[in-house]
Amino acid sequence: MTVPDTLLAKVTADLRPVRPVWSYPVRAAAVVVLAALAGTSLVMALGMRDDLGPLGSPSFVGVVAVRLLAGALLVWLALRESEPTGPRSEVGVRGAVVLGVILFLALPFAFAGMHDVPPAGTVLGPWICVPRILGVAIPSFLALFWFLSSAYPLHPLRTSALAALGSGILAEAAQFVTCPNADPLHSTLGHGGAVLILAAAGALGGWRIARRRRQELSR
Amino acid sequence: MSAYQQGSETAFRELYGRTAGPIERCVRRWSDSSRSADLTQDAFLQIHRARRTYRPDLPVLPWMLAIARHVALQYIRTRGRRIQEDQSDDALRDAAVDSAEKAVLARHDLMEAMKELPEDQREALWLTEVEGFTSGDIARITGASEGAVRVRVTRARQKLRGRFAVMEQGR
Repeated sequence: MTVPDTLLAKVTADLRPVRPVWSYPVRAAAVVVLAALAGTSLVMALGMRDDLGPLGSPSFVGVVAVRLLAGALLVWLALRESEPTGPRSEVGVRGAVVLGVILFLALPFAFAGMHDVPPAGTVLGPWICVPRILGVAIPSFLALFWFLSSAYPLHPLRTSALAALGSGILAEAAQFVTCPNADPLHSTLGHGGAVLILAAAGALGGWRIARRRRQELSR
Repeated sequence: MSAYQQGSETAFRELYGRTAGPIERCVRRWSDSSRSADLTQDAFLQIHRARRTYRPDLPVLPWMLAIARHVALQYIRTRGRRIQEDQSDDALRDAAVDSAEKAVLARHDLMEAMKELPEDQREALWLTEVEGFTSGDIARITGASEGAVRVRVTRARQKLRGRFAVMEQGR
């Protein structure tokens, strides 16, 4: 079969050499490394929270590890979905929702009785934690969107939201290590709220990718 | 495909020549035949946009069909059209059958039986039996797991056998 002239004209108008994207595990590792660098910078600048004693090292390490694993897994799932032949994981999406509920609704209240209320003046309001989490998430968030826009997710809105959620949880893990406010409402609204803002921003980015694609197809 | 990624027009022409047939059959499954030529062009344009995501370790045709399928589904969603139930007619003409009379009966029976299958089973069976893809390739095209694809094909075959048994008893 020969190529129709209209198609050939459109293709040859943009026939520059392209380099294949990195495989999704490599891209995911790059995003996690960026998130780790940004998070480590925050922890080194602000120091670790001072209620580790009553909280207990093993449980604290466990909670941080769950966050890091969850964030990395979400990033991995999203980048896997960003390839046309990448499997779509319904289990992954449902797991992300359940994980969010556990991390930001159940766990803060479960740990609430384990430590004293911090002294007055040391409590951080959500208006401090939200911008910190958003700031720490910027490098990984931008890298994710560069990777997603150079790939071809078949469900851009969902894939972008998953990716941003992962980036947000990784950033929140860093803030969790430094934030001395153990109030469960603060964790849910301040930390959880920041992660939700990032997920919403991701969904918006995905929506724009989907809209541009629909406009191309409807011409 | 690698040459095409390097910017070779000749490679694109050759790729088109080899894959336009399967791509058109794929989009025709989801749309009416009057739109299939346009949708095929749209599919190749999106394949062109997505060419960076192809890696040499991937089989080419499933990668292309995953994008073509997405284009066809987008068309259905934006136009609000129902999935075409009788799209198998043209492609079934390509399937070899013994005698003309048996061919007509067999084709009609098969189409009727296929219509009764759930869409995911119908698609999996079609890609296996008509297009000749492996379950791994079908998993790449549809985004399902290989295990799910095998289950769909098995269930589709079981339902078709049962349906044909009922048809034979009725004659």
